[in-house]
Amino acid sequence: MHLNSKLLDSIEMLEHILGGITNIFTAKNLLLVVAGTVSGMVVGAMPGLTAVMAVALLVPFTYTMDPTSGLVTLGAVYMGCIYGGAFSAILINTPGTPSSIGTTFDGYPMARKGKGEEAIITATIASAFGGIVGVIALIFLSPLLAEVALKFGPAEYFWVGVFGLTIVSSLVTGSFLKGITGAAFGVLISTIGIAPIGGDVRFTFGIPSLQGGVELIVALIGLFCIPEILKMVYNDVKTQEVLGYNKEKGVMWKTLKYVLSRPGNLIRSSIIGTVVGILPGAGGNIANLVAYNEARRASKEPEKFGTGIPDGIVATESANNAVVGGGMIPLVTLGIPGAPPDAIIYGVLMLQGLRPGPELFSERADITFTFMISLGVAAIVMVPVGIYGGRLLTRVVSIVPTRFLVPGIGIFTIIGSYAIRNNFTDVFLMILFGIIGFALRYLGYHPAPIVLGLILGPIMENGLVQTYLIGQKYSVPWLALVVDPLSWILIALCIFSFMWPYFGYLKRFIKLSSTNR
Amino acid sequence: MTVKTRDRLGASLLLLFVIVLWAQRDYLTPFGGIFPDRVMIIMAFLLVLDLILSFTPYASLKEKEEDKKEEETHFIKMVIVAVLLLLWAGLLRYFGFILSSISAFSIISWFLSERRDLRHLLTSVFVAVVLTYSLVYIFEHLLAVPLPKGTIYE
Repeated sequence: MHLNSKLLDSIEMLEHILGGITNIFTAKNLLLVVAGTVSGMVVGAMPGLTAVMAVALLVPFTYTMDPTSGLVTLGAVYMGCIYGGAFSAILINTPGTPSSIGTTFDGYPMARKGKGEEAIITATIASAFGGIVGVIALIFLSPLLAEVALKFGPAEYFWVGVFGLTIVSSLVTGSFLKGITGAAFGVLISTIGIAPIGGDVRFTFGIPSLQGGVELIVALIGLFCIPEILKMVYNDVKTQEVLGYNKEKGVMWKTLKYVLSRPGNLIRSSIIGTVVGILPGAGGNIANLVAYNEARRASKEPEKFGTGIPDGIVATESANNAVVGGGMIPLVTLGIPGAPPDAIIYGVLMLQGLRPGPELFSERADITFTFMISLGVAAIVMVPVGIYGGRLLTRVVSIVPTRFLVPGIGIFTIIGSYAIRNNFTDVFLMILFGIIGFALRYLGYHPAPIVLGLILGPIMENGLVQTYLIGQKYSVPWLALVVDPLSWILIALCIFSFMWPYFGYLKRFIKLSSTNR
Repeated sequence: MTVKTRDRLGASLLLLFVIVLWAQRDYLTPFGGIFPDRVMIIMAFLLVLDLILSFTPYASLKEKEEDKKEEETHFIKMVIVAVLLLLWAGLLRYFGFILSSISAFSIISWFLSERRDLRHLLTSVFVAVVLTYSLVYIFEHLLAVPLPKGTIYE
């Protein structure tokens, strides 16, 4: 009986995968994947513009699309952007996105040695491989996690929220205290508007348009895009010189053979990327450095890393593209974005009426699987686009001066925030969030916990209040938060992620004490 | 600004935010405040802790670790751009997307130019007009996303 149900589940999943493949191989969806990948690469190749910014800026293009087309486009933008960052890392020595920081270590020295094309091809193969590994993990792990999520009650959802906030505060920010305070700030912003249970109107300061709460996409565009453009002005970013590279005969096959001859590095780095992606809030910026470090540790010639060897590029580029699929796993199953760009995709899912969770794998499986497979197709599309169009693309985007870039991004943020509800207050709020985000960043508060707080706030509030109501049967209603064994596991995870930074502090303290002595 | 000053300023501003929000509490049911009240209390506790820590030797230790070389920055320029962005948002309602975007784009672009001369002003206006009209065409005609028309034309 059990075996039969497992078999039926497998057949059903196979059906969904085949359905997804059929849906994606239509002219319209393929065109959207190509357009999304190219657009993502354009933004990704511009130094200083992040993947989250690329997704946020291109969100308004999807407002009137059907959910499948919208998600397919944004997924391709995200995949293309992470890869696009490698071009400026290799040819300008400035990572296009923070996910490509590690690529500069070996990519730029290679380009300086005249091996620019080899470096680009290495990055392309590694990115496509990493992207596909992440997508495979997404397709096969998400339904399993969604099944676990079916067992979650309100208390578990509350603890999942707490876990998300503690882990992002531990991993992403330099200071846990600042991280968790930023997360609490985001949570408080999410409570503006009508309470989900009880219907109280809260913290609106008498502004009627705030009754509906702060629109997530508006806050995300503001927090992720405006601080970046203000930073460009603040630091007076100048356009940089691009290193050229000559076409070399046979370099494609030579590089392909070299990269595939070292599968250990490719597979290890892709797995690191996928796992880091699954951790809430931690994205390609962390994954590429962890993978680079691990590749160097595992190498027989670690001293060559940083001098311009392809292995460094393989590690960073496969890891950062694997984050794309990995980060979607907690997003589609639990509604927790794995990486910052996933937060925007979460906002789009909500906008399209798609609630992350088990429902996405049953009633909306056609959309979900098409979206997941489209990410894999985008990873494949990157290969020809990157190899044949990459050089031209880098030349074009690197000459865009800051004076056009700043108002250019501004115009997209205005369209993106206005067009959601045709509301002028949203535009103001977006810019206000941006200015607050810049100020908080300057004062040491990272935007990732704030954004995660905004997203997890409603999930946590619903969980807490519903648990409180369920707990009325106990003498102490809050006991309902801790009675379920699943809650114990989640509480243990919360305690672990809460304590994690203190292990580091303790190590540093011991080291300092011994040096002082 | 030193790390200590940043810590103190950040914690104080956020504490002020919590106090303002606390003063806004006006719940009609017992459920409305269950969650935000607890979050505010926890946040206030964390901020006070951060403030206290900024007066301890731990802060000086952090200061040493984060002692980076100060780079040249352009604070006033950034504030002006932020104000121009807010003005852009404000003008949107009255002048509509086309006029406000062309004006704001041109001014910001010209303001950020290396030389603020007529040639740079003309190129700024040209790029602003091309980009704005291209976006209007894409969003209004191809994607059917409405953009603000402006009340002065009504």
